[in-house]
Amino acid sequence: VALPGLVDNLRRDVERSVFRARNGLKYVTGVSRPGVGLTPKHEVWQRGKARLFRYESDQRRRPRPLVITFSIMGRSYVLDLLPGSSFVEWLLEAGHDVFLLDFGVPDQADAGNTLETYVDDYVPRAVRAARKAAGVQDVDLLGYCFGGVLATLAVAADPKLPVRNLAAMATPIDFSGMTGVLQILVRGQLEVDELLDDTGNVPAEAIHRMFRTMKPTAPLASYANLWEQMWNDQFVEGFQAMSRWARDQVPFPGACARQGLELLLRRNLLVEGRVPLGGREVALSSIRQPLLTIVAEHDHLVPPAAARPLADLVGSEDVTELLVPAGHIGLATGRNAVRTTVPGLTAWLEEHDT
Amino acid sequence: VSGSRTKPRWRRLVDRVDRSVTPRANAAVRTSAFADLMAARIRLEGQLRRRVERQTAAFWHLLNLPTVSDHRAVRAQLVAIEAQLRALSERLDDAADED
Repeated sequence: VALPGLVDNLRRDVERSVFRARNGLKYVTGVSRPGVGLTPKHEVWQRGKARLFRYESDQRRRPRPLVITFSIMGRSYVLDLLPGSSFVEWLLEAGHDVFLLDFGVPDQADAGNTLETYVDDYVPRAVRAARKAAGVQDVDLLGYCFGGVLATLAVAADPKLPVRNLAAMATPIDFSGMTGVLQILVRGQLEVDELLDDTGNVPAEAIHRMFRTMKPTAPLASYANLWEQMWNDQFVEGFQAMSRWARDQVPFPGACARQGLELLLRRNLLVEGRVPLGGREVALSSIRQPLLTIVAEHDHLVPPAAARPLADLVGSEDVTELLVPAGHIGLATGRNAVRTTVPGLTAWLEEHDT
Repeated sequence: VSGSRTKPRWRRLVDRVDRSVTPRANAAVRTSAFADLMAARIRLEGQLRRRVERQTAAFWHLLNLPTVSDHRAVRAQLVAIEAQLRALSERLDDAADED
């Protein structure tokens, strides 16, 4: 090895050691935590804890807004994690008028929320509020994870809902392959009531534990990656934001958990295409809108086998699948989101503009 | 030079451990023995929490101080009032939408 090359390597190693020490100290002491969910937005509608936000943009080019229905589990800021690494930001750059429906953090007052609260009340009202705010006839609806279940059921339950196109991203339909705590609940070894805290909700800690047990050794690789990349400010920032989000769970409304366990997990009714809600049967075959299913190839929470059945259950003649080589979260946050998910979704919506 | 050769020795060791342990750990959390263990643990935690609450409640009541369950009862009343207010405000919103 030539002497100049050796000197360069040495200089790089010394620099990285200094940065590693600095970032390590910052990480351990918890100073300089990155801000999350920073893309400017304003609230356009609110009901209970649910909020509908519209993101500011001067690049709106599409004929109708895109309403994103986030899950009841987890915090919606994962879709707007960091500036430059934000699903919402990429959608805005692609010309979308983005609305986000966030169900908030349930407390004792929400313990009685059922699936109907979301399917028959929050989602349809938010869709109509977005239509009104944007001054258009109809909207495009994108549901993510359990938010996809709610969006799908809402469209199936109300044929008059002003939704032109429906996209379901990492949306669980077949719950038969669920593992961990969910498996215990499905088998009846544990009842939802044994998980509830004194607010009547499944506590956030129980949900965090459930996700953690699904991939028990995941921290080993992720902390090894962190140590290796500790010199890299951008990596550390992304790691901090993502690990904050992973720990930052929200409680799950008790009544909805009981109903979801019975209808979706134990009886697995979504995969049969008919779910009894609010005294009637909601049939997925009532969905006539063009449907895009966005499936994450390496999703351990909602594997492709759990998401794919939706395509065969709807009454739409126009169904497309977008397979993204990513995991459940990488679908909306990683480089595959910017390379595949956003361009794929945008292209599909453009094809279905008229 | 392959990618793995440029990795530091400690990282190669971690990767080797990860490759060997992860499939076994993933399989273990899918067994019924693990499910039984989880269910027992969650149930035991609940029982312990309730027992501790009962015993500390008796102590605080001796000192004429409110307990967690007293706070819970007050909170339940506040939640009931909040629910009524919410229902009223939603009805007003609905009426405004209809107009």
